[in-house]
Amino acid sequence: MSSYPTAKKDFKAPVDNEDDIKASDIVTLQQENRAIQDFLGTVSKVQNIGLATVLLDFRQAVAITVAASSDTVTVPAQRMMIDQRACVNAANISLDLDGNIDGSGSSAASTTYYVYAVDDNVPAGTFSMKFRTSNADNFTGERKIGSVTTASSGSPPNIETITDDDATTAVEEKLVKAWVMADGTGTAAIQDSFNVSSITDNGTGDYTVTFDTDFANAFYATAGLAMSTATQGIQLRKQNTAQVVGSINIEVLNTAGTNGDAEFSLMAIGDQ
Amino acid sequence: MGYKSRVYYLANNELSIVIPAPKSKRIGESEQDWLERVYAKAVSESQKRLDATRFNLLFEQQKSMPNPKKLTGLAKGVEWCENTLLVGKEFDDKTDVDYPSEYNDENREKLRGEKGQPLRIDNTVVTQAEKRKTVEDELDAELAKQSPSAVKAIKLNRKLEKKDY
Repeated sequence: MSSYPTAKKDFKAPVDNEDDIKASDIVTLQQENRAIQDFLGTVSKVQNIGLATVLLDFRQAVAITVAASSDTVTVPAQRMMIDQRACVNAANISLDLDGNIDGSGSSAASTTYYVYAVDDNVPAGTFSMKFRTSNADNFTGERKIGSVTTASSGSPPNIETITDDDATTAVEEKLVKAWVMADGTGTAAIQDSFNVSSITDNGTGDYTVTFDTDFANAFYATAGLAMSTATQGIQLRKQNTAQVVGSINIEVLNTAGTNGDAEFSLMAIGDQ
Repeated sequence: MGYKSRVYYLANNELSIVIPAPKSKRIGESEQDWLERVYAKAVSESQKRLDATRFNLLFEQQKSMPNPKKLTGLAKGVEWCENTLLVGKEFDDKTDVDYPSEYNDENREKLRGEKGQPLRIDNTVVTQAEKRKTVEDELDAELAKQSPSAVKAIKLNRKLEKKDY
């Protein structure tokens, strides 16, 4: 059994391959989250993958590759989201590396690299990740999202510590990952939302809320309210359908127990 | 131009209406790309829900001691998913001005449409609420009689309790 770090902000890379993650080690989602970090540290060492790749994968929890020769960042279409900003065009995303860190993993030993998310051009959605050895910065539209510190030896040196300075990313378990306020009366309208791509009006008091970014599993929690009017009740319940990672079906019921159109709000919390 | 939506035509000219969330449009994404992405996901989710609900039903059925209530619920869920499946359904893009002026929260069940035709309110459709109101009125009328039939009143009341209307 591997000994996982007690807090994900204090990640330590495993010492040798005996600490590789086994599926049998993972019992809870929290352990899984820690295991992912552990795994990334192992990959960094064994596969000689660059620090940048490891950190990007960690940050995004999606497959992002960094070409060793060109430092070109490739992201799956429509999956890039940092600092609540989504980019769909990989051409608008760049990786800016400083000094002796590059995509092939030639990072220096005993060095802390500070990582900045920089929004250079808001209208065009241009986005870059900047790695700097200095904690001082003066980028336009920047946000420091964390830092990594390398070990004292090794070629390339392991990542010793990842510090997560950004509490708004999808990997945080405590945050609401999606919410919507909608008016289902008459021609339904979404009044405001976060991480919801659409609602489907399937019939009277019968709605599907579809998420923009899926949950990691179907075990997310939801809560909501339907607004009481003169003719409607205030009950909101889930349909008999399976809960899937990308959407949820809900019903609004009146006091008589039949479906009724109404304003409703819904929020969802879980792993993404 | 009002709210955008895509109307999918289901069996019996019933409708499912997908309404995009304005905030889901991404920076640098064209309006067309955004809408197509949102509609495509809504369609694929309807298939995933059906598959997952069928799987859950099968899983429950294969248990040595299946939960009858769960079985009934999941069977209804599968039926619901089949009835609202958007995959392969014809559709039209609409804005709020394309909906009938008399459309409101009382007559959603009567909203009908066909590909290429204007949406309409079909007043021949009797809604669940109207069916319930009929039974309620019948019960009220019975109770208002000088000598109401207790048996009839109880039967009507049971209908309401069981939602058998």
